[in-house]
Amino acid sequence: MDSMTEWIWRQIGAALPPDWECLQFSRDPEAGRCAFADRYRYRFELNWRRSKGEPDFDRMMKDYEGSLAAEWQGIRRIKCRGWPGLTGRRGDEVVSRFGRWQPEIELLVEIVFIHPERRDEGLEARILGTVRAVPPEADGFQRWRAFGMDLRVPQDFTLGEAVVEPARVGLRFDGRKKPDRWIFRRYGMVDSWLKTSVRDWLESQTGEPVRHVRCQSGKGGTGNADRLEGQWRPRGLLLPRGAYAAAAWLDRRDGRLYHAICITGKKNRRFHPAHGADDVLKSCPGFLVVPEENAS
Amino acid sequence: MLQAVLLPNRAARVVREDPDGSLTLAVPTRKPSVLRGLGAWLVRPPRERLTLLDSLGASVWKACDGRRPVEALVMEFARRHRLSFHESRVSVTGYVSSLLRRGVLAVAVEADR
Repeated sequence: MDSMTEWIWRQIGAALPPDWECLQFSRDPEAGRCAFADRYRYRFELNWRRSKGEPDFDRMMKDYEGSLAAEWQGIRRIKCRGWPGLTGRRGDEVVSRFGRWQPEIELLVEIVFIHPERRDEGLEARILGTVRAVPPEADGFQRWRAFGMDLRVPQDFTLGEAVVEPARVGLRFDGRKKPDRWIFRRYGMVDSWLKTSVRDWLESQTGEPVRHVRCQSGKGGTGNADRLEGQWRPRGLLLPRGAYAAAAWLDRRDGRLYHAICITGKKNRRFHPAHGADDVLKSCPGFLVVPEENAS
Repeated sequence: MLQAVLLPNRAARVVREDPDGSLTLAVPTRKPSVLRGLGAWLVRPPRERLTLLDSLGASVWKACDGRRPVEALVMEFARRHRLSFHESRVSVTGYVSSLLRRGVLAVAVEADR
């Protein structure tokens, strides 16, 4: 476990061991969680809940202690890297829970570690030292880094859809007004299904609403990206129009095909990527950890 | 599931093997009790059920050799297709479950159990 992989979700960042994969996630910005597992069990949870002010941690701890006493053995209070928490044994594993209020993003963040057999304090300290708030940037973009993609979307966009399947990830962010919609996808096993050039594939992904399509190839993102621009003009008098930009590229480092689509209306024109949709998406080959030959 | 050892159903036979790696397998079917006796004269169910595996599926089926556990198959599939462990686990376990339901694969059980 030499390097760590950075994960940013719902404006919360953490660096985690690269072989911990996110198997559960929530889209709800108010309250939710992401759960990560190694090969055999869940190891880490990132929970959040919106809270305008700092909660009474001492009271929360007492309540927690009371409710967990029946489940956990040897429950006790701990503190790590400034995070107050509780630890105790639950069957064949040791669980540690830490909580902190992040004022920049007004979220109550709870971190849960699940250790097989015994508590690994070094690992807890190493990870808790990286958990932080990632507020929107000065230029109005919020950053997400998940499932092999590092992306930036306007700060008022919300995660409208997330599809995570083997070798196929798709995240869709919706703006407050139509047609604002940015979509990011990452595909694996490309040799098995991509039988055309990336450029032809990219063109095939545009639907009827995209008119006046212009294609170009060139350097972008992390390699040679194929780009496409056009006008978003869905059929229908009242349907709002906008600008369409898409980019796709094959990253040789992880063999994945990355695809970004930005549909931006007039109101959000300042956010529309000026140099192609690959401006707002980066591939993250560090996310892919293929099992070693001699791993047991 | 990861510790299970799978092997091809001995009764299954390869009907066709295409150059692209896909396989057609035939598995004998069991005649339902209602179709025995007089019913057998009226309805004749097929003696075999065909299962078509694409090249990816065929490679998984061939890897089920009765020696290696599913976890080893998952790791091999991940290495071959540059997938993470859980991506491969979901793909392989889902696929072998469907092959088990179709009777193309069987779970190996040690004789001394």
